[in-house]
Amino acid sequence: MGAPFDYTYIFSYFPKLLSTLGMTLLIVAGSLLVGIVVSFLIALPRLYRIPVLNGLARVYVSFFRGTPILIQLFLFYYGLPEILKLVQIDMSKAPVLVFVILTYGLHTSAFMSETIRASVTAVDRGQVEAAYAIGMKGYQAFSRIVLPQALAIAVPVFSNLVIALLKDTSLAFTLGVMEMTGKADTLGALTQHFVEAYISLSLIYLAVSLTLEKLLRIAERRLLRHELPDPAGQRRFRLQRKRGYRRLIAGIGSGKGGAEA
Amino acid sequence: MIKLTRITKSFGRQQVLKGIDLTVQKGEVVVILGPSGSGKTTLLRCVNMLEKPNDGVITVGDYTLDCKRAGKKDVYRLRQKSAMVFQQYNLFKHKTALENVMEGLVVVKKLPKEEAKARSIAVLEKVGLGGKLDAYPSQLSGGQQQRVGIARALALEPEVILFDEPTSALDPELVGEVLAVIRKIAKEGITMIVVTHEMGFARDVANHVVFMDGGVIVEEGKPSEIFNHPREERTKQFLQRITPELNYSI
Amino acid sequence: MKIDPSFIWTAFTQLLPSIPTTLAITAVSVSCGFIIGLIAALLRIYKVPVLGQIASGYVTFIRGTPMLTHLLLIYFGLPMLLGAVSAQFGWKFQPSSIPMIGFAFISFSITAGAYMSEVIRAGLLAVNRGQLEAAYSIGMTTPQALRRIVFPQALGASLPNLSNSVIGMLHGSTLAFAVSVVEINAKAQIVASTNWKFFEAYLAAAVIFWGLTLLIERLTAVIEKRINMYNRGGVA
Repeated sequence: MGAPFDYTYIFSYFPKLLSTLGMTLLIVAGSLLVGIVVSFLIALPRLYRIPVLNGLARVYVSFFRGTPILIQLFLFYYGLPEILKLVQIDMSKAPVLVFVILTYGLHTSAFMSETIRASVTAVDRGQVEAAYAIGMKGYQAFSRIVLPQALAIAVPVFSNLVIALLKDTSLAFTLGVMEMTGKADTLGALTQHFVEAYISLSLIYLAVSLTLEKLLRIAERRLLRHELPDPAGQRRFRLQRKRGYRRLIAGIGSGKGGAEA
Repeated sequence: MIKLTRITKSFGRQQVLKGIDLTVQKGEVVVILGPSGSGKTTLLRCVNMLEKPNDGVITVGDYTLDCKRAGKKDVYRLRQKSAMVFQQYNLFKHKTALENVMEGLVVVKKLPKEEAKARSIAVLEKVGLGGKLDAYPSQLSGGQQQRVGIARALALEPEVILFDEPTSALDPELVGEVLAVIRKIAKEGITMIVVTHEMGFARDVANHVVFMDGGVIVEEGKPSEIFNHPREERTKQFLQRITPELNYSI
Repeated sequence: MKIDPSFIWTAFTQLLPSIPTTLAITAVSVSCGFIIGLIAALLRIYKVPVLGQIASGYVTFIRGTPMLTHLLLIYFGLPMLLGAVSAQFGWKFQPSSIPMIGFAFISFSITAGAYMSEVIRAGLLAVNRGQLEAAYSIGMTTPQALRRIVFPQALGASLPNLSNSVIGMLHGSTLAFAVSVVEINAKAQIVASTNWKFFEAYLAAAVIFWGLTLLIERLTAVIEKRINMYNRGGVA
């Protein structure tokens, strides 16, 4: 099973793997874009309880949360061209990357739409009433009062979703997209130094995850300025617990707490 | 002037307001008393249509609205005539004290930012919070938050300010500062409708006291009449229960 | 290539025998993961020196890297490690004697442990400190207070997250294909490629996973109702 362990390979693999980091991040960014747009389309009928659409949105969310991303990838890759052929759209020449981004986008949108829904619901009813009481219209109350607060509640969950998405992209190689995991696979097979390749790969993923987490935490801080009891943020521990609790009672989890890829 | 005519409101099968008529003159401070479940808070919330009455007519200032035929636009116009101070303060959590007060002026009244800011600062100074302009609600005590709530209402210069039990969520030692502010603005001749359990306050500040029970107005009149010589048995019982020290045998 | 609806059913029946493999992987990784997670969570909450830091590092590493890399690292790295150790001590252990599914069990348990640790920690922290103090005030010891007062409440609070973790591991079990374990996904691949009917086979697999997921959600709801009895009623 492979060549004897040689840690120098770990370092020599870094630049080779990093050359495909761009592809991994492209998939993440593309899917996020698709995911954000679609998740609002899914969340709105559910928030406003629009008949029929509400039911459809529920089935959509249930399906994408109820089946593994790996199965979804294959399903879309093989199924979408067939279905679109029925309406005279030819996708046989579309690059694999399109399917990959579309699938990850739809997958993540199901989780995001639930986050949006829960966060909006978690904003205190009194906030809307106060907005109405000073004479605001419905859309003003939503965009100026509810949305900013909901956003602040949603960011930590959103951050988890982005990182989950990053990790999920490691499956794209199964459809032949040469992203980081695919590259590590190839490198391992080439030199028979599998373990070194995967250690190198893990370290890069870890670094990217931690960086993303840090960036999103900065965004969260900015959105949550109003909840910092003192500017220095000395009481961060208590604050985090309080917020965590609030999310808990609001029933918001990313739903992606389990380990996908 | 505020005039409510035949206001009815039901939640499901339960009728909470059974045809309320009430007139409030300009500059008057009206205090609504009554046991919990009497419908007093619901009545107050009907004045700015946070609760939509099933029937009745509401007049605030120069605007009259028939509840049955009220569309969205009518509700917005009515709401611009009033302002509300909530039991739970309901300050916008993501905005500073100053921004809370400015919000309505900029978004609803469409004042230029500078003007809104100047007016807001003046009002916050009036309620004694000139030094807390940039504090977020979470950094303020309950009493301070409620004073911002009052400033937010006051800045809009409405026809009437509606107070929904403004001190009942406060710690006892903080009640005084809030009542003092309400007293101060009452003296300036601002029309107010106040739902409260503070009997001393009702006695001192009110021009007119309304006693409600079971969704109807049982009795109304000058504070001296209601507190000293209540005519109705239900009023007597309520006052005895809630204020033994204020027995009418003075 | 035309869609053949009747083959969906054929594929479905061919996939059914591999459900137990999927469930076995899920069950093992969830139960071992729970034990690992509980230990890691307690080590971190009580800030046990060294071990607490190791637990934090473990959780950070696992949560920051894809599950697939855990599996591959174990698959390629563990035999190497065990081989070196047994050579050192002169054991007669043959790393190649580890069955394929064993790698999935070990690796997925390690993955689940890190996620579970976060869930358990959040659940424990959600329990009001006053509860613990009240338990102490009537003379309970720390283990008693934890077992009788804190854990039951924490379980109620973290049940939705636990359920999500179980679903996550169920879906994650599809990765076992990488070490040639024939669970539902791998079976679907076989059925698909031998009949050249990919869409139908994966659709059947999706339906099975969807059904299993809904089942877990339903079960959670039932358990939640029973556990959270004490939370009902009263003015929230």
